[in-house]
Amino acid sequence: MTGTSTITTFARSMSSRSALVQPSDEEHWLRLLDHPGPRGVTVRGAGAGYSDAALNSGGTIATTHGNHRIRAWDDRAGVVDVDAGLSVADLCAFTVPRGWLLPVVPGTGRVTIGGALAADVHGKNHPRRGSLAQHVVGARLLTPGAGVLQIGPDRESDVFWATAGGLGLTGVVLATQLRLARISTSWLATEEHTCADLDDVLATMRACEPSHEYVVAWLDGLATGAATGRGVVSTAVHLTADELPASLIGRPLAFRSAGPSAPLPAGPRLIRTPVMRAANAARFAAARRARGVRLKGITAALHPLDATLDWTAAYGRRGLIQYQFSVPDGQEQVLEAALVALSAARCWPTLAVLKRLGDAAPGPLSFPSPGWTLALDLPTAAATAAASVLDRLDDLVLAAGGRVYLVKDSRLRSCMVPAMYPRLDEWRRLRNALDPSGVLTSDLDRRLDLSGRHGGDRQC
Amino acid sequence: MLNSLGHPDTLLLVGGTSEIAASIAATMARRRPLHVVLAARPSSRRSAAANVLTGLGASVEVVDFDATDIPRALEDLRSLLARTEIDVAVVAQGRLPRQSDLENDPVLAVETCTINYTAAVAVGLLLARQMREQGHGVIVALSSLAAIRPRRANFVYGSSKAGLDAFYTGLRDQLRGSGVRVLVVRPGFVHSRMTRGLKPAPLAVTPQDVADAVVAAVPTGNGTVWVPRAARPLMLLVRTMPGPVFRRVGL
Ligand SMILES: Cc1cc2nc3c(=O)[nH]c(=O)nc-3n(C[C@H](O)[C@H](O)[C@H](O)COP(=O)(O)OP(=O)(O)OC[C@H]3O[C@@H](n4cnc5c(N)ncnc54)[C@H](O)[C@@H]3O)c2cc1C
Ligand SMILES: NC(=O)c1ccc[n+]([C@@H]2O[C@H](COP(=O)([O-])OP(=O)(O)OC[C@H]3O[C@@H](n4cnc5c(N)ncnc54)[C@H](OP(=O)(O)O)[C@@H]3O)[C@@H](O)[C@H]2O)c1
Repeated sequence: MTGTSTITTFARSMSSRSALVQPSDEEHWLRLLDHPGPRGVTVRGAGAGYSDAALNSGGTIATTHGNHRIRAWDDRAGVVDVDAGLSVADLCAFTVPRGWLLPVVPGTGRVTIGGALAADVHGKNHPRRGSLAQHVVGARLLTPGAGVLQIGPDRESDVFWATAGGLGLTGVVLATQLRLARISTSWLATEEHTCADLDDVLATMRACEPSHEYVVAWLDGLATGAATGRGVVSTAVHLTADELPASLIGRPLAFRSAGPSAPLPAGPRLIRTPVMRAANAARFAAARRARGVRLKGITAALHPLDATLDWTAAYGRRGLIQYQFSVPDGQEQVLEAALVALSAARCWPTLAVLKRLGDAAPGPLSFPSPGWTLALDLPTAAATAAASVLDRLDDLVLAAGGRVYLVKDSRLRSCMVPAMYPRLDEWRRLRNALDPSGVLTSDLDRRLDLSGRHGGDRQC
Repeated sequence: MLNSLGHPDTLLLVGGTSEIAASIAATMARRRPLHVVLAARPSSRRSAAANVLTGLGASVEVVDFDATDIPRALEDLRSLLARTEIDVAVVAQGRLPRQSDLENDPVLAVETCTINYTAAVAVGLLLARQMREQGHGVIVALSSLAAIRPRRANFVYGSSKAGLDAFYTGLRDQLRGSGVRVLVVRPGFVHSRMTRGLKPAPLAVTPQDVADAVVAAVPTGNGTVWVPRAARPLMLLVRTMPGPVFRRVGL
């Protein structure tokens, strides 16, 4: 191909050679889908992923960087109409000072609204608020086979739900109308509880859930034996105006985003086991000392990683992968099994984050279902050596009634997808009607054969 | 696609009945579901190789491939590549007739060079074009320590392997930045059908040793794979040895 460049994932563990285009308006997008080239088109937002969902080897990657306007704002209803390429942080910068917040935000503010809808993302408050799509009033979808559609939970609802979590394979989301939640201040009261082992973490999270908007646990991936799964449970609640301390009364709706982060070249691999061991011990000790409530702004409370300059550079050239799965309540032994199996294989999770999940949304490929979700960051080289351990964990997760989060996946066996997502066939039928000639694809689609067009009918 | 941990979904074996190639396929298929294409001359050996892989859970497809009929072989491979995206391709066909037979039979010598070298060039160019278009892929070429320095005892075979080695080394450079990588594998003496009845050379290895080295190099490698690794410093020595010394050692 001519005019191609190498695009690497945020996590640095996968890359592709692709032609990169940045359509500016709807007409440009239409033209692109009419002349896709032999290896199709992949829509890409911020590329803030761990997987190859926004890569397209040998094909075209079309970014939404050129589409990031706030199109309309209704401050009575709290409904905002935005271009799909707008980032969550930029949306917050517009709405928070006006007293509104997107009820569901993922762990980084850098993602785009289009990318967040394509993954139907969840936040640290899933049991209360559900996933992002449940706050979408409508969206404008450009499809290769059915033209431009206005979709929503009550308009072309099957297409809408196929698009929420549909990983960019049903069409290009051009604009989204979102219903926001009222906030009277932009400050959160945060607390941390140290927990001696996994049972303690689970009990603490359950106890905090009814009274806290946001609940999340950080687990020490290097703890073993009786301390396996020890961690720190963090909670946060929005402060009301009358709860603000005197020092903040003058700026109840202040908002500061983390600012842009330029990608750094891969450095020497700083993330090494002894370093991690020391860091985790320090993290645990600090949480134990810091009793009581701390006030934080939205970015610090909900997007803490965004403040760290391109931290993936510390993983070296091969980067990291993330393994995120869910299991239902009553299957907590799988959480422990994952930590034990990975530490036995010396593939220590460098970051382990546990969240609660509530009721599932109607999307056939939407990830959340009631129970727990554990996200494990693993250095790629260590994960390569432990590849079969991860495959066995997939089997455990599936047997427990859980699933792997597709937008973060970089290594699942394709044969697991129909079992983990039993409504895959229903989704494929909808998808193939919207894109009968397979214009929209991605390396993730090829690798897992999501669309059913890549002959990936492998047996496990 | 290779996943982030370097596991392919599809594997093409050119010279699909080769024991070394079969070991590579079996090693990969034992780990994970795999689609394997065996490009080989039709024979009971080919059916047996397919059965072994099916038994390991792989899905197997066979394609006719006779390295002495290059136009035909290219046509069949071209239509395969048009319908199946290949993640990793192993170029393994080869013959090792006795040196004395080769010296006495120029037709046999030419046929050996055709199989070992000329056909490998044709296949390499075809794979490179297809993989460049798909933006990814790994080509594994089975060279040999015999390619490093011609020896009195096997210089006809050695010259064909030297040609293959030079070609794939150049191809690797040509493909740099395209997303396609080339591994030039240089095994020493391998206990396989090809060497049955021959006296093992020092540093002899098994097909499984070669397979393990190749499987370990597939995720990120883009260069030369020596099997065993100790062959590398030794060959540096062999390459720089003055001629009279080299002949006296008689490696
Ligand atoms: C540090 C970090 C923390 C995270 N925390 C969470 C979390 O808490 N919860 C959670 O659910 N996820 C989380 N994620 C995952 C992230 O939210 C998703 O990967 C999200 O899809 C990224 O959005 P993006 O704009 O970067 O999309 P990209 O990575 O560019 O694309 C992701 C997918 O969306 C599709 N897509 C993008 N734009 C469009 C569009 N306009 N129309 C149609 N399809 C489109 C792409 O084709 C691709 O399939 C986290 C990721 C990171 C890096
Ligand atoms: N064994 C060693 O010591 C050694 C050392 C270094 C490098 N190598 C190289 O490794 C590769 C594999 O060798 P191996 O050890 O696995 O030996 P092998 O089992 O004998 O494999 C050689 C293969 O080449 C195939 N072949 C021969 N002539 C062919 C033709 N005209 N058309 C198509 N295929 C043909 C054979 O297929 P059929 O079944 O159709 O005959 C056979 O499967 C060869 O390139 C060899 O040169 C071997």
